[in-house]
Amino acid sequence: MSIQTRPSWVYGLLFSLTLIAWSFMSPIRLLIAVTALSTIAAAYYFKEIIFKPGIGIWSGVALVGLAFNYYVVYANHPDPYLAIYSGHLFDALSLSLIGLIVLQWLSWRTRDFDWLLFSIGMLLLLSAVSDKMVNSKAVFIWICLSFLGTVLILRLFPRFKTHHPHLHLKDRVLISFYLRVSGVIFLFLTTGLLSIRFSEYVDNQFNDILTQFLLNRQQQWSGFSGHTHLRGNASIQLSNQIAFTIQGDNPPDYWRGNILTHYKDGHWFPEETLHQPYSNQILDGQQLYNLKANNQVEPLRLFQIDMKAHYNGILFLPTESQQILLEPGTIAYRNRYGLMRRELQQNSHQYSLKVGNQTKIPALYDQQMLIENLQVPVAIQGKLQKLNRELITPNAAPLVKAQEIQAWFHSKFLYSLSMPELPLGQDPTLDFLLNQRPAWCSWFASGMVLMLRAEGIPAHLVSGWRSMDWNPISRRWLVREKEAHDWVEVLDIQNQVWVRFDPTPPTQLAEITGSGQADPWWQQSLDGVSILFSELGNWFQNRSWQEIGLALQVGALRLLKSPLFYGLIIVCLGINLLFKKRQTNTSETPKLTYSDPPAFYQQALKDLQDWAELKDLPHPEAHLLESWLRQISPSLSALEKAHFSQLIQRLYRIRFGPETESTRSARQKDLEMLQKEHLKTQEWVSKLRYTKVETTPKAGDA
Amino acid sequence: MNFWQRFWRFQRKNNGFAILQRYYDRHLTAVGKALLLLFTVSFSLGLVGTQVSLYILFCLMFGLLFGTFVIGFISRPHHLELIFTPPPPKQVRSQGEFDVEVRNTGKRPLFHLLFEIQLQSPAGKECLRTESPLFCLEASKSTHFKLPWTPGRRGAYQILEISLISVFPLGLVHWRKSQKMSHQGWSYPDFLPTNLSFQPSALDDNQQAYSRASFRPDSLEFHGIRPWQPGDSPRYIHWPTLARTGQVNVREFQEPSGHRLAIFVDTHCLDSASFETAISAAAWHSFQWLQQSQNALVALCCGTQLTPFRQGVHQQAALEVLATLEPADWQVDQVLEALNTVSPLSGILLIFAEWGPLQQALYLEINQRGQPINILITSQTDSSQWPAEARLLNRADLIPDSKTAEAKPHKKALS
Repeated sequence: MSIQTRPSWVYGLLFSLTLIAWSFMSPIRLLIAVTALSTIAAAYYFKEIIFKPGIGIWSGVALVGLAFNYYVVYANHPDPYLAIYSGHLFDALSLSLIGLIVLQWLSWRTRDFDWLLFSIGMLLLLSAVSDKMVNSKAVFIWICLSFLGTVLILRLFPRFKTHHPHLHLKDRVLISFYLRVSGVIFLFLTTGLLSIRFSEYVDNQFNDILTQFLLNRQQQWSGFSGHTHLRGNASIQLSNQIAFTIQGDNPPDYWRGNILTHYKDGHWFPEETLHQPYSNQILDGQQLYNLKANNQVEPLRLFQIDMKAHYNGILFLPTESQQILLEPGTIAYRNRYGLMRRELQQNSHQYSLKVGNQTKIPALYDQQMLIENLQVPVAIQGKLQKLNRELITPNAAPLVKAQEIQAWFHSKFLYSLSMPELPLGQDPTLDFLLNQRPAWCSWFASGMVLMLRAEGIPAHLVSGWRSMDWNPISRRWLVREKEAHDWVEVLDIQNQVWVRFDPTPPTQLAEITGSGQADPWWQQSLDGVSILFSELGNWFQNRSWQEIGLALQVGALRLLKSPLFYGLIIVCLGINLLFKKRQTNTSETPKLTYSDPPAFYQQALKDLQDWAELKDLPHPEAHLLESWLRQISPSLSALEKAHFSQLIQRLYRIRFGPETESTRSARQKDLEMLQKEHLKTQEWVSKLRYTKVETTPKAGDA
Repeated sequence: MNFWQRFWRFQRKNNGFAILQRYYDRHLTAVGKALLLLFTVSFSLGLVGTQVSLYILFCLMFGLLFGTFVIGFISRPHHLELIFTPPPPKQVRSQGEFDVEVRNTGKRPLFHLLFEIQLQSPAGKECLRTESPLFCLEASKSTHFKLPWTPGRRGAYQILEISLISVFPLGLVHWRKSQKMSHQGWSYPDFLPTNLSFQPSALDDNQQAYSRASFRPDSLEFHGIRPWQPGDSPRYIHWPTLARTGQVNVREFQEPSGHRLAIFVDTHCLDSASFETAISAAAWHSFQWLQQSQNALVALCCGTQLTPFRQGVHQQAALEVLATLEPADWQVDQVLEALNTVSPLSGILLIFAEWGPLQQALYLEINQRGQPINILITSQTDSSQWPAEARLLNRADLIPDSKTAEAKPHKKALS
């Protein structure tokens, strides 16, 4: 079976949408698209032109078109690869597909398979693989949504025949129809958009593995690690995994994790002193660890931290920390920079801490620490000093110099999550500084530390966390792996404190990593629910059955005491009553009533019987009005028949009709009407009797 | 056999590709097939690459197909009653109609309904389907679906399956409720009327006696029952009345008083068009004679196969014989032998699909008996060799008249 007419305008619309996606931001493609659309528009003026190629010719045209485009048109151009796809192959495929689509407009089509829709859809699919479209994914989503939305609406629209003159549909049926239709639209939108989110998530998880496998390009996840390695040909993949959660009001931004002091060829290592015990005392009960040298009386804020990963037992502390509260029996360590660690068996662990307002950390330094914080590789020291001379005001205070360097980073550098291949034999940090390459936070911090050390100012690199997101469902602050950050601490010798500097451009950082911005609602709800569940699991895990029973008992007692509980019960009862009432209202199942026939009904029957006997008519099979009607109907006029059948219908409605509130009044009216009708019937029967009396002598005469 | 048994048997009998192909063809519309293939391609293309953009179309199509499948499944025709009324016999090239009443016995309305009949016709398997879908069939209501059908070839056809298909909501998937059928019907050959006047000769006494002897009692007509009289053969006792009333009655037969006519159809034929013309002409004459002549016996001799038919009883049986007629060889002796079983004949009509030595020999043999002969020849050959009675019968010449003037009353007669 075939169709020999031009495709409907719906296909034109779909093709136009597809061509928008295909020629997005590309003038040459736009020109081709306009040509294709003009050709199909012209096809409607020349209706007599219909090609009838077979499947062999179709395949031939497609293959020759593909080969011509690939080997002739794009032969001498460099092939732009997008991921693993050859750009030229996709361009050649798209061009031959457009040719095929136009050819299909001019030819017969089969009814068994919609090749035209398939070809247009394929073109849309191919248009996804272009650098323009990859960078503007939202545009592609909208075009795809419009494409499939058009298919949906225009497949659905001709089927809305609810107001057809021959149809007398009940409201119930129409509601059912519209509910189902909206169900389709709802499922399309929710399932489609959620599965896009899901595939993005899967892509995030596996993209780096695939990329490394296919392109040999090293990609690393954002996140906290004890050391930092700076090298070219690498990129950072942002991870949304939760590192830890914080309970409390307005937690500080910067949370220190590790101090990196040793630098060699782009690699930063920590000072391995965190295995030294902080205190030789045996800890019993909750202990307070005073971090500050000068104990000032200030209001402290309490935070509860719940770690989701092990991190070698490192206790992440904001610079403002005053006291840490640990479980009894914990073995803890502390180094000279104020970092803390404890022995841990399990991955998840909690601790509490009290935080003040002081952002500077007391520096308990000695000669060895100064040497550590001033180490610069000799090979790059000269170049760094030369760079410093161009930037820094000579003879300024160390902190002023640090501020100048930070300002230089903020103004001259770009933030980026990928670093291209670097030349061999050059120190990566120096290369980054001299070429002002776009890079991520570790590079900035590394560059600043080395510049400061070359200037003779003690400094080190701090690895930790920078910002967090508020989750309204779990009422917690979430720190994700993508919030991992490196910054710089500079020694203020006069005040004997470590002062924090962050050379990473803050606005660019926020824009690119999205840190500090609110999550989308679906992410918030998913995270919130999962955190609440894990909390519940922890709560049960950490308690014995006796404790759980006791807690339930206490909770129940508390509930019984609260007036809110009784209010809730009253509301529930009200809702229940409301639903019950609605149920009785909505489900009006008609009940049959078998009442005794009214007296006048019996009387009418008796009259009829008398009359029939007078007239020598045989009795009907059943002593019912309609049987009588059938029996005597040949001797009735049309008007009398109508009158009589109306009477019977009414009688039956009264006897067997539905017994509901709404029909009760109508029933009463019917009864009243019937009384009147009965009088009429009596008249009518007597009239019949009268005619019988007249006719009988005649028959006798005959 | 329930659904699962049929399902399992089908799985065991066919390979995977055949099964997939069957489900693909049977349950998807043209647009549905295109979208499903696109869905599969986008998935495979996305699998080998690392670009999420490729998945966007895939994901949205997943949403569209998922929504359509879920809502389609919920609204599929489930509780139904299909009442099939067997149609009257049809004739080739005349439009007939299948009428099926569908009752929705469920609690929910059904939307966008198509009706389909699958039949095994003489031309092969055919699938008839209503063009545009019915918008709604409300709960506990019924409707009639009427499917026009014009049989292309004569013969018996069988209705294999009737199905109600819901294409709700987007017309991508067919949700079926099928019912297996085993109804057999007939598509009779069409009539090719001629203005042939035929005067059969009366039978003499001897011939009548001979016919009585040769056809009793099958050829006699049942007249009634009468009380048993001495001398009646116990063979004719009517046992049902004996059982019912206790009185012995015998069946009484009446000698037919009509003519005996024979129609010979030439099956030795290579040209199918002239063969069909011959069959149509034979159909017209047999039907006409069986309908009009009083107590006529029409013997239809198709090649060497001879079947006698009685007026008023066997009209449609004669058409059934012609509907299943296939080309076959015959010899003159065999035909004469067959015709002898019904002789004496008051007339014979020879319908030849071609004129050759075989046909000529038969004509000469029959002509010697002195019976009135009419000859119709349906192929254009050298007419100089034809006998004087022969006439050329050409469908193209006769059909314009027959369509307007004669075809209609006979259709009525058939129904």
